[in-house]
Amino acid sequence: MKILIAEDDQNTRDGLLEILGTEGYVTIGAADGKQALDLFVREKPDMVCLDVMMPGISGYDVCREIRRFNTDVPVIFLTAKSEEIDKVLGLELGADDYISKPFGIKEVIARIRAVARRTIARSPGKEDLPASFKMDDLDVIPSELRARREETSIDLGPRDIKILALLHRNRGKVLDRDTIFNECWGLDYMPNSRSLDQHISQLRKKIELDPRNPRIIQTVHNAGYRYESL
Amino acid sequence: MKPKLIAILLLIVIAPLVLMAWLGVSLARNEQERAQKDFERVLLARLSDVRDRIASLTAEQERAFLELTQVATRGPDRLREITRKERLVKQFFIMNADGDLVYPVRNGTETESENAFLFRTEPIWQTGTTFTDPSDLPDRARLSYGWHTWFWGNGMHFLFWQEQESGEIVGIEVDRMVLMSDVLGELPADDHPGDRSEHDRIKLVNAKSETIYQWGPYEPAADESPSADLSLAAPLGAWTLQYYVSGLTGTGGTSIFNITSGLVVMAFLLVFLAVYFYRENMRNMREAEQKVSFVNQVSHELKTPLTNIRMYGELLNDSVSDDDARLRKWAGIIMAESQRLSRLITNVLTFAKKQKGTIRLRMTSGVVDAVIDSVLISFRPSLEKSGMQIRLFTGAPATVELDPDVLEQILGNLLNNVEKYASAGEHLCITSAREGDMTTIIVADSGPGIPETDAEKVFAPFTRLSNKITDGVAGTGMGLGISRDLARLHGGDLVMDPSESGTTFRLTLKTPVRAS
Repeated sequence: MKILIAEDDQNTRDGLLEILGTEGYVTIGAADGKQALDLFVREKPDMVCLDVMMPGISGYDVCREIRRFNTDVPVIFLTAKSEEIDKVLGLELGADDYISKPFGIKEVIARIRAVARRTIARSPGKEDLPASFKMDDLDVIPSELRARREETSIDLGPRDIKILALLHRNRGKVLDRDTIFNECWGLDYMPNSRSLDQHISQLRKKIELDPRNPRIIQTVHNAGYRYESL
Repeated sequence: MKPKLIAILLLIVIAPLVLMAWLGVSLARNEQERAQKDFERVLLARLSDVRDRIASLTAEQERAFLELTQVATRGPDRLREITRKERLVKQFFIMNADGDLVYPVRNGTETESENAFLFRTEPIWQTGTTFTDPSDLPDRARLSYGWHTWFWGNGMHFLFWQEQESGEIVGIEVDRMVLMSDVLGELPADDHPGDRSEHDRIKLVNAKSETIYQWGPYEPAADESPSADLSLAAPLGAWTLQYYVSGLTGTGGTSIFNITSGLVVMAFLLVFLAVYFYRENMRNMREAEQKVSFVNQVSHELKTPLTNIRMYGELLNDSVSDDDARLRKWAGIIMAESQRLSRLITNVLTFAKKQKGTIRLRMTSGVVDAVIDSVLISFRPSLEKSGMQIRLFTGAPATVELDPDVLEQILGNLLNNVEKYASAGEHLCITSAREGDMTTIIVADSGPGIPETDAEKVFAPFTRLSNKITDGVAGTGMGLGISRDLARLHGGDLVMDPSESGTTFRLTLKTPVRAS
């Protein structure tokens, strides 16, 4: 899933690109409204995050322009003023959601994921997502970007789904870090074993009953990770 | 401008003016009445002069008549002779002690004028009129005497009588034309310069209100009432002196003019003061608005750097290995402080909105317990670090209609206070419950507590209790006041419950189940 992030503050933009990239989304950054419109036409993103106050063309105008030829693409506004929230949620702009500044990572991920889930549900098959599968007592439902254990629902990002699907496809095999990186991050991503281990660690906290003694994602010392089907 | 301010300014201008106008008019009316009375007194004094002059004439005539009525020889011839000689005497008459007229009588010897007298005076004798002295206590040293008047023909006629030692009454019919001529002779001529005022006229009127004589240049209207009047003394008591003056002179008009001028000056002064205070007030309000606007602007400007501090703090925290406790702690501090700053900015912005009257809720669906969980997540590390045990009893898991941001702000303020002032306590207990459309959240700590006498004071804006717990702890005194305002806006309230130890805040919010 490709997300266009239009934010004039470079640090905020870079942070969002990092967070959403780590989450498994393909991200594109735009520093102003004009660049955002150009990139929207060229890259055809699946979702747009727009800062309201941008030099040149404001987020409102970018949204109106996008809506002229695309009424489906989800638009999430980043706002600093509560007055702006009323406007972006108004029927006139047709925004899907808003994120108030100052926001935390969890809030951004949760909001983006909720909108992404609705987008996938609206156009099934558009995203290259595997069918639902079961790992141990966990039901992974990629089309909903979530997993279920009995009555508990666990939110997952696209990258979480990719990692779990990869391990599930290669159940019983040890997958080294390079393989996981290439499959789940892409060949052009600069490998960093630390970020992979961090991501696995975070994922375990979400899906494992006891993250210290994982049953789904097991560590094979000096080799990689493995899902052992019981 | 606010209607209240307009009302106050109007009151400042109108109330004193109305009061002053009322006092002024009352004063002017009293003054006018007093002046009128003074004036009437002056007029009456002038009329009295005239009356006294006429009275002295009458008295002089009385003296002459008294001498005449005591003429020893009273034979008809003698009396007829005197009648002929005395210009004022028209006819003598004599009554015996029994009240019978003994002269003149119709016995064939009466003259024509005596016969005419009898004819004129017939009503007097027929009604058996008795002549009595008008004095209440007649001087016994003198004989009784007096006047008798009656109407006959075209005017008033006069009799002067005196009782004799024998009991007889000797009287004189006074020639009314001569009498009137003498009286008028005493009055000023119509062009007499001495008695003439600028705009006045004195009339002598008879019982039928017909003018007998008048002087003075003023011409009163036909229906004009006299400014003063005075009846003449006997025997002319049926005649009245009337004083007419052009317009109502005196100080009344001047008083009204003075008072009106004073009121106009006062009105200008008050309007000037009201305008001055209005402008001052508007200037202060503008300055206050500018300050609020400035704080508002700055607070919004702070949000972007704050976003970055919080976001990168969290990124740092996620990237730090679980083993690196020091880096994790520092990242945690950055996150906690950014959230503290975030709460402060939210409170400042809420306060500014409240000042501008633009504060309102953004109702959406949410779960109260989920909001409590998410707020508690950010406070849990620091509270647990200070040794506090957190007990959570959630009982509001339903999806309801609420403004989650408002609930988050209120809980953030309450837990922030626990973190600042009650961290010495052993536990924090948060309970949520739902009943009907209302959700109640109780936040109770076991800290040093707040005296019950300060239960309301803590909600006053910018109020910070000063004691050994709060001294030295940074704070704005905004949190609880804003939280209560928000709770009330949300259909509930925020109160401090009395508790034996620690502090207990009870938050209620109206949270109807959201229609699916």
